[in-house]
Amino acid sequence: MSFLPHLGHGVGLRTVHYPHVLDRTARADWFEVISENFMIAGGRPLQILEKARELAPVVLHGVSLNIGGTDPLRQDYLAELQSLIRRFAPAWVSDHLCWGAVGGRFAHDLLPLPYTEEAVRHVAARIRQVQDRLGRRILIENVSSYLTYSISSMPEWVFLSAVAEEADCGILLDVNNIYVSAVNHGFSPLEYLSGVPAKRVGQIHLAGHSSQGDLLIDTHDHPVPTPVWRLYREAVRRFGAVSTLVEWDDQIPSFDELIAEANRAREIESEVLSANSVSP
Amino acid sequence: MPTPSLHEVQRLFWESVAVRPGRDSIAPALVRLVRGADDNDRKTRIRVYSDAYYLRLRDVLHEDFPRLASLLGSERFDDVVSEYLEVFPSKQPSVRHLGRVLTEFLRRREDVPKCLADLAELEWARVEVFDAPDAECASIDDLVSVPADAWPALRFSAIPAIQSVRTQYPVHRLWSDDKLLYVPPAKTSLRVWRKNDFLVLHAPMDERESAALSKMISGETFAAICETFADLSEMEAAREATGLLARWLEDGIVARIGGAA
Repeated sequence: MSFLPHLGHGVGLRTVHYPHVLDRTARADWFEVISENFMIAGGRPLQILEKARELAPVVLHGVSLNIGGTDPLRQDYLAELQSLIRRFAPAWVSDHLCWGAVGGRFAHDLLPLPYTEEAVRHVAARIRQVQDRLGRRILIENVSSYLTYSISSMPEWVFLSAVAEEADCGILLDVNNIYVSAVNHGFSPLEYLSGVPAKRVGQIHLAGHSSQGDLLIDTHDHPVPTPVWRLYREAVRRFGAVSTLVEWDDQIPSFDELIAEANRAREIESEVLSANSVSP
Repeated sequence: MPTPSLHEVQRLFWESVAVRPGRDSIAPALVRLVRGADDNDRKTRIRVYSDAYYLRLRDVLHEDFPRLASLLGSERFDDVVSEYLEVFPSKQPSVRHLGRVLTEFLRRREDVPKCLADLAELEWARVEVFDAPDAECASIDDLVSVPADAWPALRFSAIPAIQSVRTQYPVHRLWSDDKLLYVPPAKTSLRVWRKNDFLVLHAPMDERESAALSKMISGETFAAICETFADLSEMEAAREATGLLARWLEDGIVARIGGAA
C-alpha cells in the first residue's frame, strides 16, 4: 500500500524476549506488539516498548477493537490507542476483521462474522469512524475461523475486500489464517489470494497452527508449516514485497529461532521476486 | 425463518459460547445458523469457541493469581473461575482487568477459606502495582540539603506503584512458602510496591509503619509521621522515624520530597 513503508521481515515481540530488547540483542527488521498489552499506566512493558523502538520500527496490533461488534465503539479504548500512537509513533496500526464483545461483555477472542451486505456496511462504517478518530488509515486482518454462517452471502475474501474498499483501509493478510480457514471450510486458498485487491495489502502475517479433530486451530505455537510457506510464496507472487511478520504466541522459541523464521520469509520473498524479475 | 440481524447473531453466539465448561447451552437457533455436515459437526465447531473462551480466561486468572490457583488445586480453581466468569464477565477491552473483583467474589463464597480471599487481595495488588504509573524516586541525597528547621514541615509523597493491603491472615507467608497450605488468622498489614528495576515486592509492616505509610500516602508532614511514634521518647521517635524513612528511600517508595504546604 502506498501509505505504508516496506519494513522487511519482522517478529511479534513477546514478554519472553524482553531481555533481548534490554540488552539490545533483539535484532529484527521491525516489531509488532499487541496494543492492549501496553494500554497501561506505567511499568516495565512501556519501558521495553520505548527501548524496542530504538532498535527497530514498531507496529501496534490490536485484538479488542471489536470492529465487527454491534455495541458502540469504546471511546475509552480509542483514547488509549490514540495515546499509545502519540507516544510510540507506530509505522501503522491494525486490528482484526471480527467481533469480540456484545452487551458490554468481552470474549477476548476473534469471533467470526457472517459475510453479509449488512455486515459489510456495518463494519466499514465503524472502520471509518476509527480512522477519523485516529486520523490515520488502519489495517484489518482476516482471522482464522472454525465455523461459517448459512446466512453468509459471499465468500470471505469478497467480504474482506468489500469492507476494505468501502472503508478505504488497508489489509493485513494473514496467510496462516487463510490456510487454516481454507482447510476448515473447504475453499481454495489460492482463490482467496487472487480475490484480494493487491493495492490494499499492507502487511502479511505468518504463523503456525495445530490440529483438533478435523479442524485446524490457529494456535501460534509451532513453526510456520510447509503448506503455509507454500501459500506465502504464492502471496509474494501476487502482492510483491510486503512487510511480513512471524507471530509466535505459545511455546515460544528462542529469539534466534524466531528470527530464523523471519529470515526464511525474507529468503522466500527474495527468491520469488528475483524469479519474477527474470520471467518474460 | 427471517434472517437474524448481526446483533442477534452475536447475542446467540455469546449465549452459546460464554458458558461454563461441560454445560451444553448451545442455542438451537445458532446451530441452525452454522454450516456443517450435520448438527454434531455444527456443535463441534461452536464448541471450539466455547472451549477457547473458558480456557483463555482461566489462563489469564491463573497467571494473575498463581498461588491462589495452586492452593485451591486445579479442579477447584476451575470451578471458581467458571462461576466467577458467569457472575463477572469481562467488561473491559483489555483482559488485564479480568481479575479485578475476584477477591470480592471469593469473600462471598462460603466454601473458600477466608485466608484465600486475603491471598487473592495480595495477588491482585501485585498485578495493580506492576503497571501502575511511573514516578521518579527520591534518594537519601535529596534530603542532605534540607535544613534541620525545615524537616517538620517536609512533605513526602509515595510512588503511585505502591499499595497498602490489610488482611485478617498473614498471607505473605502463604504466598512465599509453597509447602504452607494454611495460616491461622492474624491481622496483617502489607505494603506492595514496584521497585525502580520494575520488580514487584511485598513486605509485612508493623502497626507503626502501616500508620506512618498511610500518612505519607495522604501527604501529611514529617512531623505528623513522627507522631506515629509519640509513645516513644523524642530521641527514640526521631531515630525510628528517620530509620523508617531511610528504609522507604532505599526501597524506592518515596516519590519526591516537597516543601511546606
